[in-house]
Amino acid sequence: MRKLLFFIILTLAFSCSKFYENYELLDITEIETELPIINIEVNCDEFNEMTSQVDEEIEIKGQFSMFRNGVLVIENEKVELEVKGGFSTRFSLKTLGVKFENKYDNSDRSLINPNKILPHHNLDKIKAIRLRNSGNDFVKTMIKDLSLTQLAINAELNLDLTYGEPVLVYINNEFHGLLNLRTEANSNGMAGLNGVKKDAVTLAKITTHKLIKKDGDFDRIDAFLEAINVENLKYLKDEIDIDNFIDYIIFQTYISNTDWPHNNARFYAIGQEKFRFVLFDLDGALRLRLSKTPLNIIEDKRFPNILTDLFFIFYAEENFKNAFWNRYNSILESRVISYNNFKSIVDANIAQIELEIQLQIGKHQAPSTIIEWNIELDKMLTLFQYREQVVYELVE
Amino acid sequence: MKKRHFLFFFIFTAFEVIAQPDRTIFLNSGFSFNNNLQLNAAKVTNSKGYVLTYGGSLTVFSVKEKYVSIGIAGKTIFASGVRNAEKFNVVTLRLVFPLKMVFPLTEKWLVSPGFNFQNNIDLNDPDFRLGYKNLWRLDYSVGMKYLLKNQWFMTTKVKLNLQNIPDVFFFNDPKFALLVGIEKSFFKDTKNNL
Repeated sequence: MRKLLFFIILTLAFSCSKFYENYELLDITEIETELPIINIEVNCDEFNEMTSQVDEEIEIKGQFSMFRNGVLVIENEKVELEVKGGFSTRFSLKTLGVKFENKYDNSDRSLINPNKILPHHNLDKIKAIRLRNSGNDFVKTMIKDLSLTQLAINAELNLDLTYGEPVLVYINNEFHGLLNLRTEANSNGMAGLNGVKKDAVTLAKITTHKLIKKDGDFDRIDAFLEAINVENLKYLKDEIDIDNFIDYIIFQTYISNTDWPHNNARFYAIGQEKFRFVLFDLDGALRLRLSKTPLNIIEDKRFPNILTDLFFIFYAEENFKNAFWNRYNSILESRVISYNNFKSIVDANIAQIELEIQLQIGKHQAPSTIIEWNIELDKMLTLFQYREQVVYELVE
Repeated sequence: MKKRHFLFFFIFTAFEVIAQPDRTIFLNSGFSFNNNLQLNAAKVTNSKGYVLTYGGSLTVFSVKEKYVSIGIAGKTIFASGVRNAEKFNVVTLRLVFPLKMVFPLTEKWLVSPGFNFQNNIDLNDPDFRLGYKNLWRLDYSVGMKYLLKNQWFMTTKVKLNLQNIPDVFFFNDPKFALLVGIEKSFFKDTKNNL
C-alpha cells in the first residue's frame, strides 16, 4: 500500500495536461505580423542577471527601437529596464518595466496607439511603459487584463486606467516573447495621463501585506489613512473623487476581481486635487467568487485592507448607498459592460495574436498549445457570461 | 440541527464501525466520451478518451457484508477530438478521491454505487493555488464486482458527471466513462472479516 501511495504521489507531482501538436517555432524574419515589434539592445550578461535574480530589483540600461507595419518608428531611445511583477516573475517570460531617459513624445501615437482614449486622458508624453506577461494569465489567454481594461475604456466609466496592446519583443534581435505593451499605473503613468510632471503626483499602493507610500505628499496620505481609521466621513468626502470611487468599485466587483481590494489597488492625487483610484492588473478577475454579491467581493475577509474599510464607511451613509446602487443599475441598463461587448473585444484581440501566439508556444510553451489557449479563452468567456447573469440577478 | 447534518449523522450511526478496515488496490481502464461539446464557439467532434485509473481504498464503515470505502487514485486520460478540422491529443492526470458503497448481491457478485471527487484543473496551474470556480468536480459511478478467487475481483463501472459546469472542463476528461478492471482486497486477521 505504501509503495502504491508513493507511486501515486510521485506521479501526481508531475500532474499536468500535456498537449501534443505540431507547432514549431517560426523564424521571426519570415513571419508576417501586424503587431508592433520592439527590439531592445542590452548587454546580454546584465540582462540574464536581471532576469535570473528577480528579487534583486536590478536595473540595466538599453536602447529601445520599435517597428509598426515594418516601418521603424522609434530608433535607439535610451531606456532603463527592470523586471516587474510578483508571482508572475516565476514564469520564463518576465514582465519588463521600461523607463525612457527622456519623456517620449507619443503625440504621433508611434509608441502606444490604443483604439480609444478616454476624454480626460492624455497619452502624448510617456515616461515609462511596461511590457507585461499578462501576470497570472501568462500561461493562459495572454489577453484577459488587456480585454477587461478595454471593456472599461469602451464603457467610458469615470476611471483612470492603463492603455495597452500586444507586441512582439526582441532582445538583441532575438525573439523574446509576445507581451502586452502597457502604460504604467504608477506615478509616471498617472502624471502622463493627466499631462503633469511626476512631482505633482501623490500616490500610494495597497498590496497584500502593506500599504506603501510611493510618491508625493506623505503627510496627506497619513492624514487620509487616519481619517479612515477614525471613520471621519466628512474629511474623506473632501478627499475622494466619489464618482471615480463608485465606478472603480462597480467595475472591480462586476468582474469579480479576487486579487483585489487587498492587492492591486492604488490611489493618487494631482497636487491638492481629490484622490482617485487606478484600475490595473485585472488578471485576477473571472476566476473565483463569481456567485458573490458586489458587497461580498468588496468585503474580502481574507485580508483586512483600507479600501474595504473606506467603502463601508461611505456605504453606511444612505446618500452614498443610493448613489452607488443607482449608478450600478444605470450601468447595467446601458449594457456598456456586457458579455457581447466583452466577447467582441476578446475576438478582436484573438484575431490580433492568433498567429503570434504560436511563437509564444514555441518558445515558452505558455500556453502549451493552440488547443490549450482555446480552452483558456473559452473558460474566460464562459465565466464572464456566468458572472453577467449573476450580477444582473443580484443587483436588480 | 440542519437537515443535512441530521442526515449525515443518521447515515454514519446506521453503520457498525469495525476496528480493522480492509484495504483494496485497483486498476481500471476504459473509454470515455462527450456529446455535443463546444470549445470557444467551435464544435468539437469525436471527443473521446482512453482512461486509466489506479489507486487504493480503505473500508471505513461496515455492517454485515455491506461496507463503505474511501480511496485515493491517479487517473490518466488520453483524450482526443477534432476542432475546426484540427485534430488534437491531450494527456491529463487527475487526483481522484473515490467514495463507494458496496452491497453483495450473491456470493460472488457485488454492486457498488458511489462518487468520485477530483480536481478539474491541473495541480500545477496557478488557478489551482489561487482558487477557481470550477476547481473540483464530482462524478457519479455505479459498478459491479465479480469475485474470481483469493479476493481478486473483476470490476466494471459506469461513470458520469451531471454537474452544470461548462463544456470546456470536459474537454480533456469526458463526462461519460465505461471502465473494466481488477481489484485485490486485503484483510487483517479479525473475526469480522467480510
